[in-house]
Amino acid sequence: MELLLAMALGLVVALGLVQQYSGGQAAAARLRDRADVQDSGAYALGFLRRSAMAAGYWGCNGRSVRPENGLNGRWAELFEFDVTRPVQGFDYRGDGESVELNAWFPSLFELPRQTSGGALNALAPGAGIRVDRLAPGADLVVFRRLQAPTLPLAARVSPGDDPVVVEVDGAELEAGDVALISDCRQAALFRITGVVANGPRLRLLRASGTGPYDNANDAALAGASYGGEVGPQGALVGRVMTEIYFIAAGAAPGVSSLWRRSGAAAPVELVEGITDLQVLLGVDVDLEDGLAAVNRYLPFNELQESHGIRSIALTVRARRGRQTREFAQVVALRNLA
Amino acid sequence: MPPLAPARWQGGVALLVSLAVLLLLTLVGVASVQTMSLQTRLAGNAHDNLLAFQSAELALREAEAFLMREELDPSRFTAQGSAGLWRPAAFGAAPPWRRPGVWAAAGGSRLVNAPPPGMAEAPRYLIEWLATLEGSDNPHLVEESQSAPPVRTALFRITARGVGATATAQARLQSTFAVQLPPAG
Repeated sequence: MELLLAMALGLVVALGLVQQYSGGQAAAARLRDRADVQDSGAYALGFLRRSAMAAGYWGCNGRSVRPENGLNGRWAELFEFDVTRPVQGFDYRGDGESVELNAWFPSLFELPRQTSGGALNALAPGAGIRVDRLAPGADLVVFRRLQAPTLPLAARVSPGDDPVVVEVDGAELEAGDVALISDCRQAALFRITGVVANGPRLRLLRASGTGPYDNANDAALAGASYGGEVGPQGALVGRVMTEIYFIAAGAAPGVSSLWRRSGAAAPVELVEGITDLQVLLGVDVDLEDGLAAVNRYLPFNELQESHGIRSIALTVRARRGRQTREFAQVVALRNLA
Repeated sequence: MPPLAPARWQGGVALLVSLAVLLLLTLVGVASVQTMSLQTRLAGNAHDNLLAFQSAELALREAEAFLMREELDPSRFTAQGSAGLWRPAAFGAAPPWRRPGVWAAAGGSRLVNAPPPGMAEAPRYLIEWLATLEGSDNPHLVEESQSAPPVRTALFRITARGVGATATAQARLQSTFAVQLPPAG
């Protein structure tokens, strides 16, 4: 009798323990998902924040300097090197399912993208963005700057000369790169067609060609002198870096990820479990009112010529299991404001 | 029913079993403490990183305020650096902020006034007088470009360095700052 009673009690206690354990397991799994969501969201925002903060860095140029285009292609044809647009974005305007080019505004027509016929609007073949893999609903955002560290000029560049720069640890410039030469008062885009090293000094060749990414014959650089007026330290050459952030299907099935396409390279999956990206620009709608402050947050398609861009509001949504969370941050665009 | 074995034969087994259970519990506890301390270190490093960046930002702002406040005399900016004020290096020479030791020496860089507590080292900055530009077509002064007498503008490059709560977390920021000078003569 005692044995039976003890066994019954033992069974109740054992069942209770099992219940407790499985409940604890479920709670732990939820907590783990939540921690993962927190980590992914913060990590994704970290990438976006660093790129946003550096957007529009062209050396010591004031923002009123209009860079000359020394290539054959027009700015609009050189998406990867369009230094006239430090920040650019594409707003999703579709029905929530469509991934047509026109589901975004402006249309994704000019984006470096992969088609059955190869890469369009891209310098390197095979390195375009797969538009059919994009997550419908999410925005795309583009940041442009010079890749740091930049390389200072080793001597004044006379009109028609090739620029000579001093090698710097961590800086890479190689043949085929599209670079910007800048000296506080002027700037020009050109393509490096060869690098001749002489000790720590690199001569950057710039032969002309006929393609859109080749140097034009009457390259803007030919008629200007760099590093004269502003002295030796303000003049530099840097590789133009364009970073495109977007949400698309990742390697793991059923989960979308934050992706980034840097420079002319193929897109790279950065953070798994990011399902949405929304971008608004903080703008000063009246530059004449004497208040250099943000007075409205607008989507890219409502931006006008007369607006001054001061900041960018970034929101990402992270998901893991059934846990979803949004992370938002406003980043001041110091190089534009 | 056969008589049960005397109790003294079972005492050792209970001890062994409870020791084994205790060992298991200890292992679980140690593992969770390790995970927690790793998380704490991750959070601490992220905080350090942010603190270094913000203290560099503080130094940058103070340098900009310095340039707006002080009378700007080119003789205060020297080739060897005096109180953090530098003439630009020659073509091909390393700028001061790339030279080792410049962030420790009093002549190389300036300390910010009354730095907030919590940093391993106080934030510092140095300023290079890059150039003085003349002409009414100065692109840096869009608003003043209509004014009749030619304006003179001094261009400065500020480099700021901040350190987090530990000395290994460092951040450097740079900005170009233009100041309009009074007309020459």
